[in-house]
Amino acid sequence: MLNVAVSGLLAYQKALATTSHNISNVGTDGYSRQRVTLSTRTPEPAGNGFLGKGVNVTSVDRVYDQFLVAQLNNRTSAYNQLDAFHIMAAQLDSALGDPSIGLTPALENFFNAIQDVANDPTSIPARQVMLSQAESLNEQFKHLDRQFGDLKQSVNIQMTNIVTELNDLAAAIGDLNEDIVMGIGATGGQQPNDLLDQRDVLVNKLSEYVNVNTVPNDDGSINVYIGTGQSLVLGNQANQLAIASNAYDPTQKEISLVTPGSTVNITQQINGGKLGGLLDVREEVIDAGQAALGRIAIALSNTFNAQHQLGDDLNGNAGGLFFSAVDTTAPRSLPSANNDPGSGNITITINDVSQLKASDYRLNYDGSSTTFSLMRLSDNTIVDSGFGVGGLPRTIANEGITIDLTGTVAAGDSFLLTPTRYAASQMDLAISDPAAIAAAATGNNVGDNSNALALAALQTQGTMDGGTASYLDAYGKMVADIGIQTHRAAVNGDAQKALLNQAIEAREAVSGVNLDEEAANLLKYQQAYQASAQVISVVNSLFQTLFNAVS
Amino acid sequence: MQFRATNAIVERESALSKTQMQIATGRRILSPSEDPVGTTQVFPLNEVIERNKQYIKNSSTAESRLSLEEKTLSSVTNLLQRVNELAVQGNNDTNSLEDRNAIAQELRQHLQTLMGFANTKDANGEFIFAGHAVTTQPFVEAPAGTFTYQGDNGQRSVQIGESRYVAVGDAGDDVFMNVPFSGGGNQSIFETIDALATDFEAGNFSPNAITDIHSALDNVLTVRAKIGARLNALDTQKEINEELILQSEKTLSGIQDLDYSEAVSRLNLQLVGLQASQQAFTRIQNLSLFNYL
Repeated sequence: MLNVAVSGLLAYQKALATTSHNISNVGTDGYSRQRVTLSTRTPEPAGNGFLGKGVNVTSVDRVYDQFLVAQLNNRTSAYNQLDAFHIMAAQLDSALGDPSIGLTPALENFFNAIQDVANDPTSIPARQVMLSQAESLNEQFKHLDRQFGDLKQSVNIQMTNIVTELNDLAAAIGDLNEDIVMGIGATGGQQPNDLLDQRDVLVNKLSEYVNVNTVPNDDGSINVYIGTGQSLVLGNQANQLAIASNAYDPTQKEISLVTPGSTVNITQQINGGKLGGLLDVREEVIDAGQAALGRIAIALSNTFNAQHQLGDDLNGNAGGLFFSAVDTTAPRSLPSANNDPGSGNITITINDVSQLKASDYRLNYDGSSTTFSLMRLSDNTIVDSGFGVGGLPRTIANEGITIDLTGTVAAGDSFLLTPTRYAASQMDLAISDPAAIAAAATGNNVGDNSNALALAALQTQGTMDGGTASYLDAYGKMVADIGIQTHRAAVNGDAQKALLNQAIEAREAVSGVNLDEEAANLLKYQQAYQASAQVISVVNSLFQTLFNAVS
Repeated sequence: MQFRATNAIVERESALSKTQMQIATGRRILSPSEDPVGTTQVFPLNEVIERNKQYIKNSSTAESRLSLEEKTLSSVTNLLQRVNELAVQGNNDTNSLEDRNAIAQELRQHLQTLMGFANTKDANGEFIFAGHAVTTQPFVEAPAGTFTYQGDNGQRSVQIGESRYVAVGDAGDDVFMNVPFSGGGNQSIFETIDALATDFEAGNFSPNAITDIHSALDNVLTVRAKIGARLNALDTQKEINEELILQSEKTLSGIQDLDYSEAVSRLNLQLVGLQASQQAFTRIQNLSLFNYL
């Protein structure tokens, strides 16, 4: 009988200890409340039935739902992807759309200054103002371009930090896997609840950065896969991620997975989480926006220069370039680092700014058919293919560019073509002398302003998009595109935030510590403990009675 | 429960801070992403406003140039009327040779004045009757009695509306040189007066001069009528431009400006909501069985 009472005492001691553990961890992130499972000891047969032998603690379990944990990870990853996207896009969004610092006021002031020259074509001050406004406009192009550059830099830095963080997490999960396997072994199959919770927390932390899938192993360890199934942790072995450079543009950082014996670039496979969001925003907003801004710079300088060269300046000389010729200096082809070392490069000429698209292109050379294919990256459309080296130089229909090859090309070579990306950063004035502004029509005397009027008229002309869009229209479309993407990320981010909160609450509802429940348990277990103690005291008095009887 | 309460407070705070920002800036759209469609309308509307302001500025430039031309040609008209009187007077039989000489002398003075008018410069030092050759003196007399036009026949225009241009001057040869001559072809107004003076100096009558002076007056009045029409066009276009600016500003205001009364009542509502969330939080916070143990 004493044994029965002691078993109760010990069991409720453990139950009280577990309740106390729950209460202590009410604020611990990712903690799952634990409960003791009690069961009766094997009863002892007596002649007239089975006599109970007391109580046993069979296990201490954590209250936990694998489905809810996986859901929490998925939603954490989905929300953080949109959030990272939104944070970056919103910076551009506000910089481009601000009525006082965007391109619009600079464009308006520049064209108004041309009107003032038209009003008074021989006035040096008016011409000087026009040059100053052109300089401001160029500065604005460069300033906006720097915003794109700064964001790209910021993406690179964040990616580096995230990779460090991911590697730390992967190593920690690998270590925990090892501890958990050992713990289970040492206790003959009991679950090390707190370690399991800690591992869940780390996996959830991982899912903030990238989409995560876990697969449990029989020994209690888990394998962690990121992206579309790249193994980050296998049991106690953690792989490492590393920063790699884009094959075309080394300034663009990418992600590679380092496993024993191989290093693979997995950037294309990464999705979800902050990392997925950063990669998305870089491609869809930053690169696209920079190409769009550059296209406006090219269209403006090209069409303006063409008209300017039709006029005569104040000294009666034929007009020269007004803006630097970014339409000839900006287009660049970036050969892949994997190209044949003997291969040459592609040259890009802009032949029609009204056809020019706000996009980069990828040109691949197929070794077996010995033909090129050109993909427009803004919508991943093949815009031209089936032409070989003999077909060069080739004017790409409807894209406004002509491509040619310098040197040779080898099978499998690939080139990133950036006709407009670098244009905005190169906007400069080609003249500094106000007298060099060609306000008069060719052959006319200095009082003529007709070329200035023609220059001013460019403001509203459909110089872009096949003659349908002015410079401002193109800028408006670019800002709207970025605005729409930012807006979409914000709205979807809000929705995902709500889903994430639901997932957090759902997990809390199952696994969270409810202090009221613990308080009630505390009372219950305390009473049971006191009752067991009372039984011992009764046993004691029974013995006393017996002793008194025999002594 | 606590998690939900904190979330509610954070959400309400961020909504409140947005309203506060809107009230501080007076703008409904704080960034393009809040209303991408609205933003695409804002840019062109702003441009229309700025451009039309510039057109109005161009109109004032045009007006001051045209006014100077009109004032000058008004003086030319007066001068030619006086020359006409002198021609009539000089062709009268009652005048003696001395009288005609005196008239001729006055005519020569008028001729010099007329040369001055024809070589008028504007405030920027440009000759207003020189066509595009604004830096070259357009009318010279060399040798005496021979008058040459050194300008060209260019005519400057300025833009005063979306597709409206107005000429802000007239080439001097059209005004002073190409006047129909009684003897056939054209003759300059200078030569007409010079010939008249020469006739009077020689004691001769000059009956055809009166016809030529009338032609000159007609010519100048025709130019002045054109100037008047242009000045009218400036006024009309200015009204159109101002109306366009007003309309655009109204549309723009509808798109981007904040409705203050709506925003302030929204702010109040959000403040009440935030306070309620905060109070709910503190109440929930106090609920615990431990308080009763």
